[in-house]
Amino acid sequence: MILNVEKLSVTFRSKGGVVYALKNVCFSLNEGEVLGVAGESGSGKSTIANALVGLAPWEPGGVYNLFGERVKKKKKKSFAIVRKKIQMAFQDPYSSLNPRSTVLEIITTPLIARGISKNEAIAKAKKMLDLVGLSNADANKFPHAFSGGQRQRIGLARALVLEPKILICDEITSALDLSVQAQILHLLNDLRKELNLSLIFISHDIAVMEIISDRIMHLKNGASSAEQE
Amino acid sequence: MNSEKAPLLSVRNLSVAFSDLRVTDNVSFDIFNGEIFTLMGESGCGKSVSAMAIPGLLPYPSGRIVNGSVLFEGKNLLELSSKNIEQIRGKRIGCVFQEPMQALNPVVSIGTQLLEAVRFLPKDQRKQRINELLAKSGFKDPERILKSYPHEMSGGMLQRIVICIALAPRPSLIIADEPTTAIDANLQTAIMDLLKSLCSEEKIAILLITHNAALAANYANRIAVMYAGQIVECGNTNEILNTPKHPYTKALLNVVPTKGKSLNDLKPIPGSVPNPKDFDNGCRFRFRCELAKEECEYDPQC
Repeated sequence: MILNVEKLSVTFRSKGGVVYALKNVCFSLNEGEVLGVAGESGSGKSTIANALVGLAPWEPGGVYNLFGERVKKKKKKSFAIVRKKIQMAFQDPYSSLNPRSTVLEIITTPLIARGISKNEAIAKAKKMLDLVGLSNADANKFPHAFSGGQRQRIGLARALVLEPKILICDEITSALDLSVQAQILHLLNDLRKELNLSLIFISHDIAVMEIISDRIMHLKNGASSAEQE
Repeated sequence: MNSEKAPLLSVRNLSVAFSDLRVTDNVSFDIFNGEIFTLMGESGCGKSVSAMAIPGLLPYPSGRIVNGSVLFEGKNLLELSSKNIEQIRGKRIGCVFQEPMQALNPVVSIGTQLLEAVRFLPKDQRKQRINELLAKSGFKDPERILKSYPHEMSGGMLQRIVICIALAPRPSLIIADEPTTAIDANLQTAIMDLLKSLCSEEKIAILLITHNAALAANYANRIAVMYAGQIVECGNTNEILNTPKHPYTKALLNVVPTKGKSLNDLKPIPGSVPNPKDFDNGCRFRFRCELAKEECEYDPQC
Protein backbone atom coordinates (compact mmCIF):
# COMPACT_ATOMS: atom_id res chain seq x y z
CA MET A 1 0.00 0.00 0.00
CA ILE A 2 1.58 3.28 -1.07
CA LEU A 3 -1.17 5.64 -0.01
CA ASN A 4 -3.61 5.31 2.84
CA VAL A 5 -6.23 7.82 3.88
CA GLU A 6 -8.46 7.50 6.91
CA LYS A 7 -11.26 9.76 8.04
CA LEU A 8 -10.66 12.49 5.52
CA SER A 9 -13.12 15.32 6.12
CA VAL A 10 -13.19 18.68 4.38
CA THR A 11 -15.63 21.45 5.28
CA PHE A 12 -16.64 24.69 3.69
CA ARG A 13 -18.37 27.55 5.42
CA SER A 14 -21.42 28.99 3.71
CA LYS A 15 -24.37 31.17 4.62
CA GLY A 16 -26.27 28.22 6.02
CA GLY A 17 -23.41 27.09 8.29
CA VAL A 18 -20.75 24.43 7.86
CA VAL A 19 -21.05 22.15 4.85
CA TYR A 20 -19.19 18.85 4.71
CA ALA A 21 -17.69 18.43 1.24
CA LEU A 22 -16.16 15.16 2.44
CA LYS A 23 -17.04 13.26 5.58
CA ASN A 24 -14.84 10.49 7.00
CA VAL A 25 -13.72 9.15 3.64
CA CYS A 26 -11.26 6.22 3.83
CA PHE A 27 -9.37 4.66 0.96
CA SER A 28 -6.01 3.28 -0.04
CA LEU A 29 -3.98 2.82 -3.18
CA ASN A 30 -1.65 -0.06 -3.99
CA GLU A 31 1.45 0.19 -6.13
CA GLY A 32 0.67 0.07 -9.84
CA GLU A 33 -3.06 0.20 -9.22
CA VAL A 34 -5.71 2.37 -10.85
CA LEU A 35 -8.27 3.52 -8.31
CA GLY A 36 -11.40 5.00 -9.87
CA VAL A 37 -13.33 7.65 -7.97
CA ALA A 38 -16.89 7.92 -9.25
CA GLY A 39 -19.74 10.21 -8.29
CA GLU A 40 -22.02 12.98 -9.50
CA SER A 41 -21.12 16.65 -9.67
CA GLY A 42 -20.81 17.95 -6.13
CA SER A 43 -20.15 14.56 -4.56
CA GLY A 44 -16.65 15.60 -3.53
CA LYS A 45 -14.50 13.84 -6.14
CA SER A 46 -12.32 16.82 -6.92
CA THR A 47 -12.11 17.76 -3.25
CA ILE A 48 -10.41 14.40 -2.62
CA ALA A 49 -7.82 15.27 -5.26
CA ASN A 50 -7.30 18.72 -3.78
CA ALA A 51 -6.99 17.40 -0.23
CA LEU A 52 -4.34 14.87 -1.30
CA VAL A 53 -2.04 17.59 -2.62
CA GLY A 54 -2.86 20.11 0.12
CA LEU A 55 -5.15 22.39 -1.85
CA ALA A 56 -8.12 21.75 0.45
CA PRO A 57 -7.86 21.95 4.25
CA TRP A 58 -8.16 18.71 6.23
CA GLU A 59 -10.37 18.66 9.29
CA PRO A 60 -8.61 17.41 12.46
CA GLY A 61 -8.66 13.66 12.96
CA GLY A 62 -7.76 12.60 9.45
CA VAL A 63 -4.84 10.27 8.82
CA TYR A 64 -2.73 10.51 5.67
CA ASN A 65 0.05 8.02 5.02
CA LEU A 66 2.16 8.23 1.89
CA PHE A 67 4.84 5.61 1.18
CA GLY A 68 4.84 4.58 4.80
CA GLU A 69 5.28 8.07 6.14
CA ARG A 70 2.71 10.10 8.00
CA VAL A 71 2.01 13.44 6.31
CA LYS A 72 1.79 16.30 8.81
CA LYS A 73 -1.17 18.09 7.34
CA LYS A 74 -0.85 21.27 9.33
CA LYS A 75 2.53 22.14 7.87
CA LYS A 76 2.50 23.58 4.39
CA LYS A 77 6.02 22.26 3.87
CA SER A 78 4.97 18.67 4.26
CA PHE A 79 2.74 19.02 1.20
CA ALA A 80 5.74 20.21 -0.78
CA ILE A 81 7.16 16.73 -0.18
CA VAL A 82 3.81 15.17 -1.11
CA ARG A 83 3.85 16.95 -4.46
CA LYS A 84 7.14 15.31 -5.35
CA LYS A 85 5.27 12.03 -5.24
CA ILE A 86 1.80 13.08 -6.44
CA GLN A 87 0.99 15.18 -9.47
CA MET A 88 -2.30 16.13 -11.04
CA ALA A 89 -3.81 16.47 -14.52
CA PHE A 90 -6.96 18.52 -14.94
CA GLN A 91 -10.25 18.46 -16.80
CA ASP A 92 -10.25 21.51 -18.94
CA PRO A 93 -7.35 21.55 -21.38
CA TYR A 94 -8.33 25.07 -22.45
CA SER A 95 -7.96 26.71 -19.06
CA SER A 96 -5.22 24.69 -17.41
CA LEU A 97 -2.39 25.84 -19.67
CA ASN A 98 -0.93 29.33 -19.67
CA PRO A 99 -1.86 30.80 -23.08
CA ARG A 100 1.23 33.03 -23.08
CA SER A 101 3.81 30.31 -22.52
CA THR A 102 5.19 27.95 -25.12
CA VAL A 103 4.75 24.24 -24.57
CA LEU A 104 8.43 23.94 -23.67
CA GLU A 105 8.11 26.69 -21.05
CA ILE A 106 4.99 25.07 -19.63
CA ILE A 107 6.72 21.74 -19.18
CA THR A 108 10.07 23.05 -17.95
CA THR A 109 8.63 25.52 -15.41
CA PRO A 110 7.96 22.90 -12.70
CA LEU A 111 11.43 21.42 -13.22
CA ILE A 112 13.18 24.77 -12.93
CA ALA A 113 11.13 25.51 -9.80
CA ARG A 114 12.60 22.30 -8.40
CA GLY A 115 16.10 23.69 -8.96
CA ILE A 116 16.98 21.62 -12.03
CA SER A 117 19.29 23.39 -14.51
CA LYS A 118 17.69 24.81 -17.63
CA ASN A 119 19.51 22.53 -20.06
CA GLU A 120 18.64 19.43 -18.11
CA ALA A 121 15.03 20.61 -17.83
CA ILE A 122 14.77 21.10 -21.59
CA ALA A 123 16.22 17.65 -22.23
CA LYS A 124 13.73 16.08 -19.83
CA ALA A 125 10.83 18.04 -21.28
CA LYS A 126 11.64 16.97 -24.83
CA LYS A 127 11.84 13.35 -23.78
CA MET A 128 8.47 13.67 -22.09
CA LEU A 129 6.90 15.32 -25.16
CA ASP A 130 7.98 12.34 -27.18
CA LEU A 131 6.50 9.98 -24.60
CA VAL A 132 3.04 11.62 -24.73
CA GLY A 133 3.03 11.56 -28.52
CA LEU A 134 3.94 15.15 -29.39
CA SER A 135 6.83 16.08 -31.65
CA ASN A 136 9.86 18.24 -30.92
CA ALA A 137 8.51 20.77 -33.41
CA ASP A 138 5.55 21.29 -31.09
CA ALA A 139 7.77 22.49 -28.25
CA ASN A 140 7.92 26.11 -29.36
CA LYS A 141 4.22 26.51 -30.16
CA PHE A 142 1.66 28.08 -27.88
CA PRO A 143 -1.33 26.16 -26.42
CA HIS A 144 -3.88 27.74 -28.78
CA ALA A 145 -2.26 25.92 -31.70
CA PHE A 146 -3.34 22.54 -30.32
CA SER A 147 -6.59 20.57 -30.26
CA GLY A 148 -8.25 19.52 -27.01
CA GLY A 149 -6.65 16.08 -27.06
CA GLN A 150 -3.19 17.48 -27.76
CA ARG A 151 -3.58 20.00 -24.95
CA GLN A 152 -4.48 17.16 -22.64
CA ARG A 153 -1.22 15.46 -23.70
CA ILE A 154 0.65 18.66 -22.77
CA GLY A 155 -1.08 18.64 -19.37
CA LEU A 156 -0.02 15.03 -18.83
CA ALA A 157 3.57 15.85 -19.86
CA ARG A 158 3.70 18.74 -17.39
CA ALA A 159 2.51 16.49 -14.56
CA LEU A 160 4.72 13.52 -15.43
CA VAL A 161 7.96 15.40 -16.09
CA LEU A 162 8.43 15.64 -12.31
CA GLU A 163 8.51 11.84 -12.18
CA PRO A 164 5.71 11.40 -9.66
CA LYS A 165 4.78 7.97 -8.34
CA ILE A 166 1.07 8.75 -8.27
CA LEU A 167 -0.91 10.67 -10.87
CA ILE A 168 -4.34 12.08 -10.10
CA CYS A 169 -6.45 12.42 -13.24
CA ASP A 170 -9.36 14.74 -12.53
CA GLU A 171 -11.92 14.23 -15.31
CA ILE A 172 -9.17 14.35 -17.91
CA THR A 173 -11.33 12.96 -20.72
CA SER A 174 -14.65 14.66 -19.91
CA ALA A 175 -14.15 17.60 -22.26
CA LEU A 176 -13.00 15.43 -25.17
CA ASP A 177 -14.69 13.72 -28.10
CA LEU A 178 -15.08 9.96 -27.67
CA SER A 179 -12.51 9.31 -30.42
CA VAL A 180 -9.94 11.45 -28.60
CA GLN A 181 -10.98 10.01 -25.25
CA ALA A 182 -10.04 6.57 -26.55
CA GLN A 183 -6.61 7.90 -27.61
CA ILE A 184 -5.97 9.46 -24.20
CA LEU A 185 -7.10 6.35 -22.31
CA HIS A 186 -4.67 4.22 -24.31
CA LEU A 187 -1.91 6.77 -23.77
CA LEU A 188 -2.58 6.79 -20.05
CA ASN A 189 -2.38 3.02 -19.91
CA ASP A 190 0.92 3.00 -21.83
CA LEU A 191 2.40 5.71 -19.62
CA ARG A 192 1.32 3.87 -16.51
CA LYS A 193 3.26 0.78 -17.56
CA GLU A 194 6.25 2.69 -18.89
CA LEU A 195 6.67 4.94 -15.85
CA ASN A 196 5.41 2.50 -13.22
CA LEU A 197 2.66 4.87 -12.11
CA SER A 198 -0.27 4.39 -9.80
CA LEU A 199 -3.38 6.33 -10.77
CA ILE A 200 -6.32 7.93 -9.06
CA PHE A 201 -8.82 8.32 -11.88
CA ILE A 202 -11.69 10.68 -11.15
CA SER A 203 -14.68 10.68 -13.49
CA HIS A 204 -18.45 10.90 -13.62
CA ASP A 205 -18.54 8.41 -16.46
CA ILE A 206 -18.89 4.91 -15.04
CA ALA A 207 -18.32 3.20 -18.39
CA VAL A 208 -14.92 4.88 -18.85
CA MET A 209 -14.03 4.16 -15.26
CA GLU A 210 -14.78 0.46 -15.53
CA ILE A 211 -12.52 0.24 -18.55
CA ILE A 212 -9.49 1.86 -16.95
CA SER A 213 -9.78 1.12 -13.21
CA ASP A 214 -8.78 -1.88 -11.10
CA ARG A 215 -11.00 -0.78 -8.25
CA ILE A 216 -13.75 1.84 -7.99
CA MET A 217 -14.83 3.96 -5.05
CA HIS A 218 -18.28 5.54 -5.31
CA LEU A 219 -18.85 8.87 -3.64
CA LYS A 220 -22.20 10.28 -2.67
CA ASN A 221 -22.64 13.60 -0.90
CA GLY A 222 -19.10 13.52 0.39
CA ALA A 223 -19.13 9.98 1.75
CA SER A 224 -17.73 6.87 0.13
CA SER A 225 -20.69 4.56 -0.26
CA ALA A 226 -19.20 1.47 -1.84
CA GLU A 227 -16.08 -0.04 -3.27
CA GLN A 228 -16.10 -2.59 -6.03
CA GLU A 229 -13.44 -4.60 -7.76
CA MET B 1 -40.33 7.30 -41.85
CA ASN B 2 -42.67 7.67 -44.77
CA SER B 3 -40.42 8.95 -47.51
CA GLU B 4 -43.31 9.83 -49.84
CA LYS B 5 -44.29 12.71 -47.60
CA ALA B 6 -42.62 16.03 -48.21
CA PRO B 7 -39.82 16.63 -45.75
CA LEU B 8 -40.12 19.29 -43.08
CA LEU B 9 -36.60 20.46 -43.78
CA SER B 10 -34.64 19.82 -46.91
CA VAL B 11 -31.00 20.86 -47.01
CA ARG B 12 -29.44 20.65 -50.47
CA ASN B 13 -25.78 21.04 -51.46
CA LEU B 14 -25.06 23.34 -48.57
CA SER B 15 -21.47 24.62 -48.52
CA VAL B 16 -20.26 27.03 -45.87
CA ALA B 17 -17.05 29.04 -45.96
CA PHE B 18 -15.21 31.07 -43.37
CA SER B 19 -13.49 33.93 -45.15
CA ASP B 20 -12.40 32.07 -48.27
CA LEU B 21 -11.97 28.69 -46.68
CA ARG B 22 -14.67 26.15 -47.49
CA VAL B 23 -15.41 24.12 -44.38
CA THR B 24 -18.37 22.06 -45.59
CA ASP B 25 -18.98 20.55 -49.00
CA ASN B 26 -22.40 20.09 -50.59
CA VAL B 27 -24.14 18.78 -47.50
CA SER B 28 -27.61 17.40 -48.26
CA PHE B 29 -30.16 15.81 -45.96
CA ASP B 30 -33.89 15.75 -45.27
CA ILE B 31 -35.68 15.81 -41.95
CA PHE B 32 -39.27 14.60 -41.74
CA ASN B 33 -41.97 15.68 -39.30
CA GLY B 34 -41.48 14.33 -35.81
CA GLU B 35 -38.31 12.32 -36.43
CA ILE B 36 -34.96 12.51 -34.67
CA PHE B 37 -32.23 13.02 -37.23
CA THR B 38 -28.61 12.93 -36.09
CA LEU B 39 -25.50 14.46 -37.55
CA MET B 40 -22.65 12.42 -36.10
CA GLY B 41 -18.92 13.04 -36.29
CA GLU B 42 -15.91 14.36 -34.43
CA SER B 43 -15.24 17.99 -33.51
CA GLY B 44 -14.26 19.99 -36.55
CA CYS B 45 -16.20 17.95 -39.11
CA GLY B 46 -18.72 20.70 -39.84
CA LYS B 47 -21.75 19.38 -37.97
CA SER B 48 -22.49 22.53 -36.00
CA VAL B 49 -21.67 24.81 -38.91
CA SER B 50 -24.13 22.95 -41.15
CA ALA B 51 -26.83 23.05 -38.50
CA MET B 52 -26.31 26.69 -37.55
CA ALA B 53 -26.47 27.75 -41.19
CA ILE B 54 -30.11 26.58 -41.25
CA PRO B 55 -31.58 29.29 -38.98
CA GLY B 56 -29.02 31.86 -40.17
CA LEU B 57 -26.79 31.66 -37.10
CA LEU B 58 -23.38 31.60 -38.77
CA PRO B 59 -20.87 34.01 -37.25
CA TYR B 60 -21.06 37.33 -39.03
CA PRO B 61 -19.26 38.48 -41.13
CA SER B 62 -16.68 35.68 -41.46
CA GLY B 63 -19.12 32.81 -42.06
CA ARG B 64 -21.06 32.72 -45.31
CA ILE B 65 -22.98 30.25 -47.44
CA VAL B 66 -21.25 29.52 -50.74
CA ASN B 67 -24.01 27.50 -52.34
CA GLY B 68 -27.03 25.39 -51.54
CA SER B 69 -30.60 25.76 -50.40
CA VAL B 70 -32.47 25.18 -47.15
CA LEU B 71 -36.17 24.51 -47.67
CA PHE B 72 -38.16 24.66 -44.45
CA GLU B 73 -41.95 24.56 -44.41
CA GLY B 74 -41.96 25.62 -48.04
CA LYS B 75 -39.56 28.56 -47.75
CA ASN B 76 -35.92 28.79 -48.78
CA LEU B 77 -34.45 30.15 -45.56
CA LEU B 78 -31.28 31.30 -47.29
CA GLU B 79 -33.26 33.79 -49.37
CA LEU B 80 -35.11 35.36 -46.45
CA SER B 81 -34.14 38.80 -45.21
CA SER B 82 -32.75 38.96 -41.70
CA LYS B 83 -36.07 40.40 -40.56
CA ASN B 84 -38.11 37.59 -42.08
CA ILE B 85 -35.86 34.86 -40.72
CA GLU B 86 -36.58 36.16 -37.23
CA GLN B 87 -40.12 34.91 -37.79
CA ILE B 88 -38.70 31.41 -38.20
CA ARG B 89 -35.78 31.32 -35.78
CA GLY B 90 -36.98 30.77 -32.23
CA LYS B 91 -40.59 30.54 -33.39
CA ARG B 92 -40.58 27.62 -35.85
CA ILE B 93 -37.02 26.39 -35.19
CA GLY B 94 -35.81 26.17 -31.58
CA CYS B 95 -32.22 25.71 -30.49
CA VAL B 96 -30.66 23.86 -27.58
CA PHE B 97 -26.93 24.37 -27.21
CA GLN B 98 -24.15 22.58 -25.38
CA GLU B 99 -23.55 25.00 -22.53
CA PRO B 100 -26.79 25.92 -20.74
CA MET B 101 -24.90 28.45 -18.61
CA GLN B 102 -23.89 30.37 -21.71
CA ALA B 103 -27.24 29.99 -23.44
CA LEU B 104 -29.10 31.88 -20.73
CA ASN B 105 -28.74 35.50 -19.72
CA PRO B 106 -27.10 35.55 -16.27
CA VAL B 107 -28.73 38.81 -15.15
CA VAL B 108 -32.30 38.03 -16.19
CA SER B 109 -34.59 35.81 -14.11
CA ILE B 110 -35.68 32.43 -15.51
CA GLY B 111 -39.29 33.64 -15.51
CA THR B 112 -38.52 36.63 -17.71
CA GLN B 113 -36.50 34.51 -20.10
CA LEU B 114 -39.36 32.02 -20.39
CA LEU B 115 -41.84 34.85 -20.98
CA GLU B 116 -39.66 36.12 -23.79
CA ALA B 117 -39.84 32.68 -25.38
CA VAL B 118 -43.66 32.58 -25.38
CA ARG B 119 -44.10 36.06 -26.87
CA PHE B 120 -45.28 34.53 -30.15
CA LEU B 121 -48.26 32.88 -28.44
CA PRO B 122 -51.59 34.61 -27.75
CA LYS B 123 -51.45 36.52 -24.45
CA ASP B 124 -53.88 34.34 -22.56
CA GLN B 125 -51.96 31.15 -23.34
CA ARG B 126 -48.50 32.28 -22.31
CA LYS B 127 -48.55 31.62 -18.56
CA GLN B 128 -50.28 28.29 -19.09
CA ARG B 129 -47.70 27.16 -21.64
CA ILE B 130 -44.82 27.96 -19.28
CA ASN B 131 -46.41 26.10 -16.38
CA GLU B 132 -47.23 23.14 -18.58
CA LEU B 133 -43.63 22.84 -19.82
CA LEU B 134 -42.10 23.30 -16.36
CA ALA B 135 -44.40 20.64 -14.93
CA LYS B 136 -43.53 18.19 -17.70
CA SER B 137 -39.83 18.90 -17.17
CA GLY B 138 -40.11 17.74 -13.58
CA PHE B 139 -39.90 21.06 -11.75
CA LYS B 140 -41.88 20.64 -8.56
CA ASP B 141 -41.91 24.27 -7.45
CA PRO B 142 -42.34 26.35 -10.63
CA GLU B 143 -43.01 29.60 -8.77
CA ARG B 144 -39.60 29.45 -7.12
CA ILE B 145 -37.90 28.49 -10.41
CA LEU B 146 -39.44 31.47 -12.22
CA LYS B 147 -37.94 33.82 -9.64
CA SER B 148 -34.46 32.30 -9.68
CA TYR B 149 -31.46 33.28 -11.74
CA PRO B 150 -29.25 30.95 -13.80
CA HIS B 151 -26.38 30.91 -11.28
CA GLU B 152 -28.68 29.47 -8.64
CA MET B 153 -29.31 26.32 -10.63
CA SER B 154 -27.29 23.26 -11.65
CA GLY B 155 -26.27 22.48 -15.22
CA GLY B 156 -28.90 19.76 -15.57
CA MET B 157 -31.70 22.04 -14.34
CA LEU B 158 -30.55 24.85 -16.63
CA GLN B 159 -30.51 22.56 -19.64
CA ARG B 160 -34.12 21.63 -18.85
CA ILE B 161 -34.99 25.32 -18.77
CA VAL B 162 -33.24 25.79 -22.13
CA ILE B 163 -35.33 22.93 -23.54
CA CYS B 164 -38.50 24.58 -22.18
CA ILE B 165 -37.50 27.86 -23.84
CA ALA B 166 -36.81 26.15 -27.16
CA LEU B 167 -40.15 24.35 -27.07
CA ALA B 168 -42.26 27.18 -25.69
CA PRO B 169 -43.43 28.75 -29.00
CA ARG B 170 -44.43 25.28 -30.35
CA PRO B 171 -41.80 25.04 -33.10
CA SER B 172 -41.74 22.18 -35.61
CA LEU B 173 -37.97 21.63 -35.43
CA ILE B 174 -35.45 21.70 -32.59
CA ILE B 175 -31.74 21.91 -33.33
CA ALA B 176 -29.96 20.28 -30.40
CA ASP B 177 -26.21 20.83 -30.64
CA GLU B 178 -24.45 18.44 -28.23
CA PRO B 179 -27.19 19.05 -25.63
CA THR B 180 -25.74 16.67 -23.04
CA THR B 181 -21.99 16.95 -23.56
CA ALA B 182 -21.48 19.49 -20.77
CA ILE B 183 -23.68 17.56 -18.36
CA ASP B 184 -22.88 14.74 -15.92
CA ALA B 185 -23.03 11.29 -17.47
CA ASN B 186 -25.76 10.11 -15.12
CA LEU B 187 -28.01 13.05 -16.02
CA GLN B 188 -27.48 12.76 -19.77
CA THR B 189 -30.11 10.09 -20.21
CA ALA B 190 -32.64 12.08 -18.20
CA ILE B 191 -32.10 15.19 -20.32
CA MET B 192 -32.28 13.28 -23.61
CA ASP B 193 -35.37 11.37 -22.47
CA LEU B 194 -37.05 14.65 -21.57
CA LEU B 195 -36.19 16.23 -24.92
CA LYS B 196 -37.40 13.16 -26.77
CA SER B 197 -40.66 12.77 -24.86
CA LEU B 198 -41.59 16.47 -25.06
CA CYS B 199 -40.86 16.54 -28.78
CA SER B 200 -42.65 13.32 -29.64
CA GLU B 201 -45.71 14.49 -27.68
CA GLU B 202 -45.92 17.61 -29.84
CA LYS B 203 -44.60 15.96 -33.03
CA ILE B 204 -41.54 18.19 -33.13
CA ALA B 205 -38.58 16.97 -35.19
CA ILE B 206 -35.08 17.08 -33.70
CA LEU B 207 -31.80 17.69 -35.48
CA LEU B 208 -29.41 16.17 -32.96
CA ILE B 209 -25.72 16.91 -33.26
CA THR B 210 -23.35 14.64 -31.40
CA HIS B 211 -19.94 12.98 -31.50
CA ASN B 212 -21.28 10.15 -29.39
CA ALA B 213 -22.38 7.11 -31.37
CA ALA B 214 -24.07 5.65 -28.29
CA LEU B 215 -26.31 8.69 -27.96
CA ALA B 216 -27.22 8.54 -31.64
CA ALA B 217 -27.92 4.82 -31.34
CA ASN B 218 -30.31 5.33 -28.45
CA TYR B 219 -32.31 8.24 -29.79
CA ALA B 220 -32.02 8.74 -33.55
CA ASN B 221 -34.38 7.46 -36.24
CA ARG B 222 -31.82 8.25 -38.91
CA ILE B 223 -28.13 9.12 -38.79
CA ALA B 224 -25.88 11.04 -41.16
CA VAL B 225 -22.17 10.59 -40.49
CA MET B 226 -20.06 13.64 -41.24
CA TYR B 227 -16.33 13.72 -41.78
CA ALA B 228 -14.18 16.68 -42.80
CA GLY B 229 -17.09 18.75 -44.11
CA GLN B 230 -18.85 15.98 -46.02
CA ILE B 231 -21.62 13.53 -45.25
CA VAL B 232 -19.95 10.17 -45.77
CA GLU B 233 -22.89 7.93 -44.93
CA CYS B 234 -26.57 8.37 -44.21
CA GLY B 235 -29.25 5.86 -43.30
CA ASN B 236 -31.64 4.43 -40.75
CA THR B 237 -30.11 4.03 -37.30
CA ASN B 238 -30.23 0.23 -37.53
CA GLU B 239 -28.43 0.17 -40.86
CA ILE B 240 -25.74 2.54 -39.71
CA LEU B 241 -25.13 0.64 -36.48
CA ASN B 242 -25.39 -2.91 -37.75
CA THR B 243 -24.00 -2.62 -41.26
CA PRO B 244 -21.86 0.51 -41.36
CA LYS B 245 -20.39 0.94 -44.84
CA HIS B 246 -17.88 3.73 -44.40
CA PRO B 247 -14.70 2.96 -42.43
CA TYR B 248 -15.17 6.22 -40.51
CA THR B 249 -18.57 5.09 -39.25
CA LYS B 250 -17.02 1.83 -38.10
CA ALA B 251 -14.23 3.74 -36.38
CA LEU B 252 -16.73 5.94 -34.51
CA LEU B 253 -18.59 2.87 -33.28
CA ASN B 254 -15.32 1.43 -31.94
CA VAL B 255 -14.57 4.30 -29.57
CA VAL B 256 -17.76 4.10 -27.50
CA PRO B 257 -16.98 2.98 -23.95
CA THR B 258 -19.71 0.63 -22.78
CA LYS B 259 -20.15 -1.73 -19.89
CA GLY B 260 -18.11 -4.89 -20.19
CA LYS B 261 -15.66 -3.50 -22.73
CA SER B 262 -11.93 -3.64 -22.04
CA LEU B 263 -9.36 -1.08 -23.07
CA ASN B 264 -8.41 -3.30 -26.01
CA ASP B 265 -11.97 -3.14 -27.36
CA LEU B 266 -11.66 0.62 -27.49
CA LYS B 267 -9.87 1.35 -30.75
CA PRO B 268 -8.72 4.95 -30.99
CA ILE B 269 -8.80 6.60 -34.41
CA PRO B 270 -5.19 7.63 -35.07
CA GLY B 271 -4.45 11.29 -35.83
CA SER B 272 -7.12 13.96 -36.07
CA VAL B 273 -9.60 15.58 -38.47
CA PRO B 274 -7.69 17.44 -41.21
CA ASN B 275 -7.67 21.21 -41.33
CA PRO B 276 -10.12 22.59 -43.96
CA LYS B 277 -7.20 24.09 -45.87
CA ASP B 278 -5.92 20.55 -46.49
CA PHE B 279 -9.26 19.25 -47.87
CA ASP B 280 -8.88 17.66 -51.32
CA ASN B 281 -10.97 15.65 -53.74
CA GLY B 282 -9.81 12.25 -52.55
CA CYS B 283 -11.17 10.41 -49.55
CA ARG B 284 -10.50 12.75 -46.66
CA PHE B 285 -10.41 9.89 -44.17
CA ARG B 286 -7.60 8.05 -45.97
CA PHE B 287 -4.84 9.36 -43.66
CA ARG B 288 -6.48 7.69 -40.67
CA CYS B 289 -8.00 4.68 -42.40
CA GLU B 290 -6.48 1.23 -42.11
CA LEU B 291 -8.09 0.19 -45.40
CA ALA B 292 -6.67 3.13 -47.37
CA LYS B 293 -5.37 2.27 -50.85
CA GLU B 294 -3.63 4.34 -53.47
CA GLU B 295 -6.88 4.99 -55.36
CA CYS B 296 -8.36 6.70 -52.31
CA GLU B 297 -6.12 9.67 -53.02
CA TYR B 298 -8.10 10.75 -56.07
CA ASP B 299 -11.21 8.57 -55.99
CA PRO B 300 -13.13 8.09 -52.73
CA GLN B 301 -14.02 4.39 -52.76
CA CYS B 302 -16.38 4.21 -49.82
